[in-house]
Amino acid sequence: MNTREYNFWFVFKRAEDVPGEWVGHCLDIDVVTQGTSLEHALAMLGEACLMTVCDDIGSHREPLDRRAPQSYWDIMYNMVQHGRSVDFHSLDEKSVGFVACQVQFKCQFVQPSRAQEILGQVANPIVPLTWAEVTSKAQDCRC
Amino acid sequence: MPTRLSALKRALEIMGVEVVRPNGGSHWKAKKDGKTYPIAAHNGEKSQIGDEYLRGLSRCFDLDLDVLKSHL
Repeated sequence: MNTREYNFWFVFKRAEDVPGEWVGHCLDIDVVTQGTSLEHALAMLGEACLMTVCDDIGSHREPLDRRAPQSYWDIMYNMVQHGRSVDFHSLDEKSVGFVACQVQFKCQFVQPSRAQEILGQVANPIVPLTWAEVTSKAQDCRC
Repeated sequence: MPTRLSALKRALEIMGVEVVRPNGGSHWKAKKDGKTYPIAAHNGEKSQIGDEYLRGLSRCFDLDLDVLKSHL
C-alpha cells in the first residue's frame, strides 16, 4: 500500500450561471467541480481530487504538474490577505460568497493485481485553515 | 449559460475526448491521451455544468473553449 500526503488549496465561490450551486477549485491540481452547498462542494472536490490523483499516479504522471494558472492563485492570495479567518464547518454559507481553504489529504493507494486502475481512499481530510469574505465584499476578490 | 452533462458528453466526444461513466461516486471521467479529468455529475445526465467548470476542463485537455461551446 502506497501513502501520500498533500496540502491542497481549495477555493469556493457561488456559481455565476448555475443557481444554487457552488464551484470548487483545487488550485494545486487545477480541478474544478460543483456542489449544491458549500459542504457538498467540499465533498465533491475531495472526491474529484482523489480520482485525479489516482489516475495520474496510475499513468505515471505527477498530479502537481497540473497547477492552476497564476491568476487563480493571485485571487486566492488576495482572499487570504483580506478575508476573515473562520472555521469552515461553522460557516453560514448564506453570508459568504467566496471561501479559500487549505485541505490536508492523506491518500492511500492500492493497485489490485492485474488491474490497471489504482484504488484510492482519503484518510482524515482536514480543513485547518479557512478564509471567507462576506458576499458584498467577495465581488472585489474576483480579479 | 449552464449546459447539461448529456450535451457536454456529446461535445467532448466530437472533440476526441472520451467520457466514462463512474463505477461509483458522483463524478464521470473525461479521458484523452491518458490524461483524465473529473466531471461533476451529482444529478446524473441532467446535471447543470457552469462556465467555470468548462474553463478548467478546457485547460486540462488544451481545448479551445469557444469551439467546445459551439458544440454544446
